[in-house]
Amino acid sequence: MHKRTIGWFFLGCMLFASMFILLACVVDPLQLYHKPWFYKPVYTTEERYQNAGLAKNYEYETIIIGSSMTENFFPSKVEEAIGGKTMKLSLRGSYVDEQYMAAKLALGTGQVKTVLWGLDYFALKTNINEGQNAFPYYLYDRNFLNDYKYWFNYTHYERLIKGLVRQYRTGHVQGLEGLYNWNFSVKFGEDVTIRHYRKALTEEAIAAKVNEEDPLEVVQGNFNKYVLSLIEAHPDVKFLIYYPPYSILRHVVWRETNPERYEYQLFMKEWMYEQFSRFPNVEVYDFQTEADWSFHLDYYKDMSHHHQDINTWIAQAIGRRDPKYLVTADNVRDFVEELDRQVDEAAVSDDDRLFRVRVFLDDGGGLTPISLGTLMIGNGGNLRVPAKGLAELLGAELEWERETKHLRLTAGDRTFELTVGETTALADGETIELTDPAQLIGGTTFVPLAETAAAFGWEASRTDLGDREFEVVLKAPGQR
Amino acid sequence: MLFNSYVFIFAFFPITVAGYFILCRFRLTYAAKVWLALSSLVFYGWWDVRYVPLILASIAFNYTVGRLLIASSEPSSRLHNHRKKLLTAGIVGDILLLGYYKYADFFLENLNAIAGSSFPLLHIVLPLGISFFTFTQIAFLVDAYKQKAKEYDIINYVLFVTFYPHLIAGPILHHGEMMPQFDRVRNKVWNWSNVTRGGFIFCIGLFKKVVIADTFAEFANDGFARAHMFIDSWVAALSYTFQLYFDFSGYTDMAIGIALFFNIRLPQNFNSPYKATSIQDFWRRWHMTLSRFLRDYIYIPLGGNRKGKFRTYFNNMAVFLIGGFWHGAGWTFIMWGFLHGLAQVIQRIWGEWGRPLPRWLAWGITFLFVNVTWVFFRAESFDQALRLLKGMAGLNGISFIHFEVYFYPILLIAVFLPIVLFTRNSSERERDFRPGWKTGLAAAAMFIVSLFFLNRISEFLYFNF
Repeated sequence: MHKRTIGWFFLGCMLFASMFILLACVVDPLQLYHKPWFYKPVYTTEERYQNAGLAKNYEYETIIIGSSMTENFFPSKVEEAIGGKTMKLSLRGSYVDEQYMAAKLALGTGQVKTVLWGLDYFALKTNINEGQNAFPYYLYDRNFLNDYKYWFNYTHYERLIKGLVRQYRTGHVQGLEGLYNWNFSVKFGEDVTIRHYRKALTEEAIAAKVNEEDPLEVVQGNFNKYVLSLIEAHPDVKFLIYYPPYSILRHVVWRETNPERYEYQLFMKEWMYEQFSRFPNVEVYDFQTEADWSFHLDYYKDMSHHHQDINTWIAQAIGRRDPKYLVTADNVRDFVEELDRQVDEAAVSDDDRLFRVRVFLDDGGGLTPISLGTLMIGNGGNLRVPAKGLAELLGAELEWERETKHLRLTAGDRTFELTVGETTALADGETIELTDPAQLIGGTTFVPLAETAAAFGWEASRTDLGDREFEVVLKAPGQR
Repeated sequence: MLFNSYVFIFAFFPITVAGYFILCRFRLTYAAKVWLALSSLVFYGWWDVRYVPLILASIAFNYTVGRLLIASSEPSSRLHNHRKKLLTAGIVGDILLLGYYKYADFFLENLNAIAGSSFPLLHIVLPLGISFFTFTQIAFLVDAYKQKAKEYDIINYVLFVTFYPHLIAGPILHHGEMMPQFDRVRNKVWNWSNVTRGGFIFCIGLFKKVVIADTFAEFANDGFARAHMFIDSWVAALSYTFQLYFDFSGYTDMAIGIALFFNIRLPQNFNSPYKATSIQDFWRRWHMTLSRFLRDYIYIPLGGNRKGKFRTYFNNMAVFLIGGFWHGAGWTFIMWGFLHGLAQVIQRIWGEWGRPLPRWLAWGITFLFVNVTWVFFRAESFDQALRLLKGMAGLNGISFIHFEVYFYPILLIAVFLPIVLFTRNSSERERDFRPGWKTGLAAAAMFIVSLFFLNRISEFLYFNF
């Protein structure tokens, strides 16, 4: 009797399991095997799961690959600008190995003519998505049997049912045009972006101390393995690679808190171009120096994520092969230098506005642009610069008292002392009033440029060039 | 390793069972026990192998102290006059280990808060099941001291502590009921009756855990994070009440079922606790092996109810404060224990008054009380607990906006409340077990549906970029 019960158990297991497998094959919530048979499509925004079905069972000629920076592309706009029926296969928070899986699956269908690939430096690092963020590799192969994780998964049905209920209630059928797009669910603005910036200056400074930056060899290895290999394997497919335009503050924070990473990123631009240039089926576009976007923070919801209009402009620029962005052997270095220069020029004011500021040194013979580090602007409109950078320029010795947050600069017989957060300073022992006090942000002390320079006999003159743009010229004592 | 995982169900479990009975078949009973003990250590070290030496050290320490206690019971033994010191050293050793791994950060945090010091926290990862294996071994030491424990074979002892069905979440075993079972000869042969029973109760447990408890968990997590109005707070609290019961008792069912494959019977741990009509009744039904441990090794040694009224109250309170703190290193757990202790005392005083409540009212008060105290048990902080309790009391108002959001959890609660109140629990079902095609198919249905719920995908957590 007991043995027979066990027999019934196994029989029942096979029966019920077959029912679930059949259900998955017929209903197929992710459209992994076919487009929906008897209902209007419901897409999940869990891209890692949905993209497998989209890549396998839809028709397209152009695919969009990349991180959340690519989620706001409208396929129709890309089609208009670049050509070919377009399918967006973005993966938010993705690394290049995941992007590779999506691209490879789509390329394997043989219908792809163009790949539009938004390539972020951070995607080239080692994948740390695990646990609930782990990539469902079993959906991206042609092996039916390992799909059991899909057949036996309640979540897909739960989402399907919720989607169908929503469809029924609102009468709205989600199309592919707006799928994954987050433009309407977020708040863009200079204020929110700068709030992120201030937070990041502190938090990323701590994170950079704890986490080790991936060495260049690892980043290059990932590039070869997951990007270059696809380009090489598909000589008939055109690869349009572009570097997404983050706000300039994104780069500022990287340079300020993690200079190693910042340098790697710049280095990789040239290195990657070298590799790309060996293949005739690649074009590379760099949008990171487009200051009309990157200095215009109302286009951003945080330091890196931009408005959908920028996605459309990117598609259009690539469509017309705009020489302003197209990277060539002749200009690849210029893109790097220009970005570095722009990072020097970004300055956030205490009242949350982003300025573009150029600092020059007047050495008598002419003006040389100089970099003092990250710039800040006080309420009084004065430029604040990192004490370290300025001390170097002034030839002053810097002493820092951690406990009292007291700073002393000495050059020859002159001294200048100030304390973080206090509006009085001592110049050669005499009290002077500061328009803006010194600031301590994420381990860097910022001091008012004009007053500090003046204490050592330097002259700082400012010329306004527009509402959000000015120049400061520094002149050493004795210069005429 | 968790019972509710592919690797356990389809690999670890079949392999360990097969290995055990093959060795028994060839009459290698000692090897079979070693196999089972080693399997248990693999089970324990699956996620974090670092703690395997820790549990082995704890076993070695307690076994040695236990052996010394047993040996020194002879008046001729040199240690005979130091047995109490030996026992104390053993218990202190266990408590220090538990204290370091489970409570060090709690004490440092409170010390920092009171004294204004800034000792850095240790951020120790809690070794799995340390609370369980510490308690079982303290019981062994105490019984060795009282000469109630026999001289046990080392491998039996290791197996008693590590036996993987109970290792992570109990039941809390007593050596007296376990170790004889490891040696019984008829337990060494494959037993079809135990296998069908074990499989059946395992399927029930798996279903309770992954289908019912994990579904309630979503509503409970959501609610504890956000709820503050009347309806959402009640939904959160009740969801957690059901989550915890189905989770814990489901896990225990799985443990009992797995052990039955090895012809080992673990003690019952739950007996429909939400049917309780008094708080004492509740503790006779909820986590019964813990209640038994606390009664035998704390309450009775403190004098139980034999030293006068007030001492009885005090002992009750002490037991529950310790019980609360044992569950977790936090003030919310202590508060939970305190409330249960207080309720015990109040019930005693009420009982002495001699005015029994009508049954329905007694049940209502008990269930309400248990619900309210679970809020402290689940909450991450006092603020969170108070927010929820305020909401439940209606102090933040009653709103029917977004009622449709709570429709589904309310429906689930409405379905499962009668089930926990009026239907037979898994132990009763196991007792009345009748083999047959219906049972086989029912188990199969529960098993396959559980597999269907085993893999849930949560939303992609997006914080890197």
